[in-house]
Amino acid sequence: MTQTTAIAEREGLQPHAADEGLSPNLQAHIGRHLRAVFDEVANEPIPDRLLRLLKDLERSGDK
Amino acid sequence: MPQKVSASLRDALVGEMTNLRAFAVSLCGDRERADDLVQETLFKAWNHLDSFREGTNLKAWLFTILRNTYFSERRKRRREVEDADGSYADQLASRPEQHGHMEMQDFRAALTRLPDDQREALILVGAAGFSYEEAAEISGCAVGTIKSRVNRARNRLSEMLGLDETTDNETPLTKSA
Repeated sequence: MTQTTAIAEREGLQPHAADEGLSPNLQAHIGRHLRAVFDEVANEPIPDRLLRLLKDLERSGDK
Repeated sequence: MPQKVSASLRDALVGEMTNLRAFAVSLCGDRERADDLVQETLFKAWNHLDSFREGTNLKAWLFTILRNTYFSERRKRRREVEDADGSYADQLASRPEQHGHMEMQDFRAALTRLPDDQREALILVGAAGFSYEEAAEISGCAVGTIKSRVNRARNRLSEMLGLDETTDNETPLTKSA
């Protein structure tokens, strides 16, 4: 028995319902949307408040 | 303890900030809270840089700090707020991000409704570019557990979004104009 099957069974789930992979087509669909959500934020500039914090941290290290 | 940080390490840290923010937003579904998380992560990372060995995986180290911060907050909140349906995620899902077209809004809302551990595994492997092994290390669990969570997350999303084999997989997600 594979480890994932064991986990599914321990949790009372149908192994094939919970753990089996989706078709490549649906996996690709989800992957595309997931990366779009992630990349949208990753492509934004770093907010000022975080840059300010970084400056403050550096300054505190200089003392 | 504040300390002097080498310029190269500082630059590397800044270089990971955009990915770290993307992880935080995808994980908690709320930009303001995400930036709080990143801020706290940056603060902790800076003050514990002596425990980071230069040359090892900085990105994974930062992601680990962020997810530990997120999950310990979630546990605390859960103890404090025992609401009737017990789901903080539902609250988040009811106020989705305001931009992006309908399909993306639906996807974001569905992502927010996944169990935390499944959402985390899916983002680490499916968007942040980590291997199953790295994701397992970040989440502090077995590789098999990560694989199982990723599969469950995909199955659940597919159910929530009503995907089937005829689902359109070609149309670009972002407007070209």
